[in-house]
Amino acid sequence: MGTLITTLYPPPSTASQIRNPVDSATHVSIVAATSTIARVVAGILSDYLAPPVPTSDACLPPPRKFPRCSRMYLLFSSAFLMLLGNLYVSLGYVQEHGENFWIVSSSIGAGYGAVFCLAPTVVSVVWGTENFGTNWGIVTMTPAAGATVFGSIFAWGYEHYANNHGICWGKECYSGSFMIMAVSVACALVGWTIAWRAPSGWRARGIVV
Amino acid sequence: MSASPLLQRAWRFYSPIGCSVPVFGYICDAYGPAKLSLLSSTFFCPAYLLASHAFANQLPYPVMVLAFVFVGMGTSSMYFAGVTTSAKNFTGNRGLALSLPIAAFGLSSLWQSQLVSRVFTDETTGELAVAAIFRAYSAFLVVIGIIGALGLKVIKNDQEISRTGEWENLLEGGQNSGGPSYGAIGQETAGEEVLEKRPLINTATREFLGDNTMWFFAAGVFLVTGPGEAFINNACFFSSFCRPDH
Repeated sequence: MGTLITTLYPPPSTASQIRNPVDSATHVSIVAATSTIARVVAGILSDYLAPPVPTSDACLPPPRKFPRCSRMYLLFSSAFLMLLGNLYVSLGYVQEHGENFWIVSSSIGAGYGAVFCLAPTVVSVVWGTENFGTNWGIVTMTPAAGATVFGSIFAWGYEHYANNHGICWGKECYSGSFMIMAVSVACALVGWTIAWRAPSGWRARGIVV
Repeated sequence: MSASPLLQRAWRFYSPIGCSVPVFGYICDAYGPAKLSLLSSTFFCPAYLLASHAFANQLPYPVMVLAFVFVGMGTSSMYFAGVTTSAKNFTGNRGLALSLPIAAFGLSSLWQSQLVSRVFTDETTGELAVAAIFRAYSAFLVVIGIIGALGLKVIKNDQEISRTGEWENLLEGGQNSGGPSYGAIGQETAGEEVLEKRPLINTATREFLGDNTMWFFAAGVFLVTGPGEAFINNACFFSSFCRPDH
């Protein structure tokens, strides 16, 4: 994000004397705050809206006046929020419009935070809590790999358009890599839909997520 | 924290390596969260002492890397001890049970970076006393790990066990432990479990790894969290302790 912020305005040494008004520390705080709020809200919403995990008692839970909403829809919404944030950057809406950068940091922060709460919840609902530590341990290896892969994609794009001094500014520095990230989130939505709705998916097995 | 770019690089690249070891989740399932919490102390204490020593004496870079890999392992142990205990005990409110400890994990890096920058900054030079911070962390995290070891406990929830028929089948799974081929595998393992109490990869884990939907789900997590991490990590170029952890 800090590197991204430096690309939004010309470096201070150039003719235009505009100083980059975007303070990366502020946006770090926005990401931290929105992701924390999103985690708690997603947790509460998923308990309140999602179908209850079946218990041994044959009796059904009392009927409810408002409709249930699957945890998967909450997961999809959070990822979609991230997708919008990535698209917003990629399409250049923050280029020299640093005042709009909060839209990006809050949407990506909130989406990312909520996914990190909803994903383990889905693991515990689908595969149970007895082995939850091992199962979530296996799934949670992927973010570290993802950080490396997508960090490299961003670095590659930045370096490709950087000048002789290794400094890059302008839409080109990040547009392509953020489009790749938006497409990647879209692919994730497809992958989750397959896991959920495919002929041998959770729904077909009678698993209520 | 702008101590040194080298230190930041060690932190950014090598502590996640320690964090991504899946074995801590397994330890929590097999031996309980109290032991895992104690284990986190045994990682944190020497790791931060080593980091402090390496920083103070300008030891070679790989020493710092080694220290941070162990810090990552300690972080991961503590994370799994907290999150797994919560997930196993509060099955009625799974969402909130998971979101609170995970949110607390994110918040801890915020308030600690504030505290550290206020307490450990030299008033005259404005420099951070990095070695002292690391020493303080080694002591602080031993205490936290011991508190966790005393307090964390999974209380067996009979209702959840009987709902999936796990108890009778000696199998541990979620709603997913049904299916046509399941009975045969279950019996086979029942035999195995007489010989060996808890194999490294038990049937539930094997079933989990063999489940196609798990791979689609994990791929989705990879494709979503990767861009999120990349976005956040580029901010951490400037302030390295800002990373809201998993």
